[in-house]
Amino acid sequence: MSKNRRYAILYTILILTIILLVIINILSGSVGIGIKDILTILLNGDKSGVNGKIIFDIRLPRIIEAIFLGGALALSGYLLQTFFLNPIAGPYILGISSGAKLFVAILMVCALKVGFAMNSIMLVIAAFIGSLIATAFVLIVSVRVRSMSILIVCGVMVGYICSAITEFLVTFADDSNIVNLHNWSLGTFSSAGWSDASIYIPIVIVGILTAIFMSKTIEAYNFGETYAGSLGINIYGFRVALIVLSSVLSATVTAFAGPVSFVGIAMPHVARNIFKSEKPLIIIPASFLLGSVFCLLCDLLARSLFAPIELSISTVTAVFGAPIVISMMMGRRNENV
Amino acid sequence: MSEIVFNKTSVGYNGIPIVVDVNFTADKGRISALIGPNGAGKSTVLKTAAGLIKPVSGQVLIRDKAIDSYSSADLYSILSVMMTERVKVGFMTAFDVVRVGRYRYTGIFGRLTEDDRSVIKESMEMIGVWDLRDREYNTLSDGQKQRVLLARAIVSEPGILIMDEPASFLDMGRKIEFFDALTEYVREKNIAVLISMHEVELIRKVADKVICIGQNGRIDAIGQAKELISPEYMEKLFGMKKGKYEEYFG
Repeated sequence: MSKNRRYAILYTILILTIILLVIINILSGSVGIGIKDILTILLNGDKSGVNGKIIFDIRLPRIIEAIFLGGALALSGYLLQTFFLNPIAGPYILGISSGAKLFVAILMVCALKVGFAMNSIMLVIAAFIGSLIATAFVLIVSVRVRSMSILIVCGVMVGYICSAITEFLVTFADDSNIVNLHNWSLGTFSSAGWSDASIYIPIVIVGILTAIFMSKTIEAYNFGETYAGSLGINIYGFRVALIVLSSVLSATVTAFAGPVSFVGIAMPHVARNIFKSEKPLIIIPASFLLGSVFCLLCDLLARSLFAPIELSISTVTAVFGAPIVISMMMGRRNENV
Repeated sequence: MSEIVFNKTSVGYNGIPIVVDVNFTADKGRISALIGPNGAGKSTVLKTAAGLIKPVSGQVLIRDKAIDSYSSADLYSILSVMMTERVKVGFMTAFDVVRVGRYRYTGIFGRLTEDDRSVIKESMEMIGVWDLRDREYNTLSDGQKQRVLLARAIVSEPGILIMDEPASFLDMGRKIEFFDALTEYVREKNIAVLISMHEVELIRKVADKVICIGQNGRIDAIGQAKELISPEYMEKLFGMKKGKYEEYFG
């Protein structure tokens, strides 16, 4: 079987899986709506009834969010892994998501206290600033220590510090808004709405297109900094582009869904191993689609396993994602992790 | 005209010189070898010649033009580099590794034209690694890997090739395979090679010119390998006791 044929089959399977998961996600929920009803509602675009509202305002936006933000998270992880030339890196484990979370929480609390109206763009900007600050810290550490394992420990510590401050802020926030803020700070797709989608969909699409246009350089960079430099690549500019793009993507995810764990670190690894390839042009879209599949599946489990109680999305992603990361580390124990 | 000229150049990092007053040339169709003890600064000289670091003072000329007057695109269409950096990527065939060396010629998504393909095939055949093209790079032996990397270095059709200890980790047989491929390539394409190497016993056969860097951070001697490589001189350059060279290499 030729490689391209194999890639085509795998992509087809991924897309069919997404479609299947979308269907299951539309069908399942605390209110049982029959397939027939759903079809008529979808085909007529009928938002008037209660069922129509559930489908169009609750379930669909949540599905769209899981697809786009899940994909964005996996892509963000892939870019970080390229940056560090090490597959054991991701926005959550390096504390970058938590930095974004802290700044969004500060913005939310300020909005509540001072009483100004907050919009999605402000959320994204706050998250972006937070993720850049956390990233800057990680980069400073990475210049001093060459070991990826120490860097990850530092990242996890930064994550704890940011989470602690966030918890502190949440505790002192206005009572009536605590529940929302608390849910968000653990990670959830449940707050999805269409107005958010109009912000994150363009960002994510621009993000993945930019990454695809960088794929040739990413491939050369994978062979090492010195080698890439000897091909005439502007290493400094390229690394800045990688870190900014990765931060924009993970910040966008955090702004809308809170911190979601293990998608960024695990999905690119799964993509490489399923596709048996390291070609960025193959792995970038594959990581994205796998991120979507993974988040659709985990969100389905998060809201249906103990319905009507909802689990936070990170609880579920961690259960599946952490073992993948552990197996990655075991597989690399002979190398410089 | 020389392909590379060092003219009263000091090389080093962050403004701190490691080797001072470097004067030598590397010429077309010849292999110029840097030898000297570990830490003397061979790699630093190579990196400076490759434009990867700036000289601390003085100039480096590539084809009679100052190296910093080149755009990186122009410089690296003349010059190709093979440093000691390890390749760690998985799931890459030997062909893929060599293909990346065509970086400057391929289109925006790295698509290969017929032209690219034939150059890759020619380069890999010349180095004797075309048969390995579908093998995963990580599963190759060290000797095969180094030859694949040599093919990657020449696939951009350079006029100048700069290599840092390319045969260091190879056994005797693989070293000879490697240098056979290199010397044959240089003879055929008439390019200039600047190489650092530790294989003093092979240097007479490989190098046309030897540049010796001493422990004091200066060029100690430059000359033809046949004239320069004497037991007495090697003992002095590498800080060995008298008679040791004969005892071990003689």
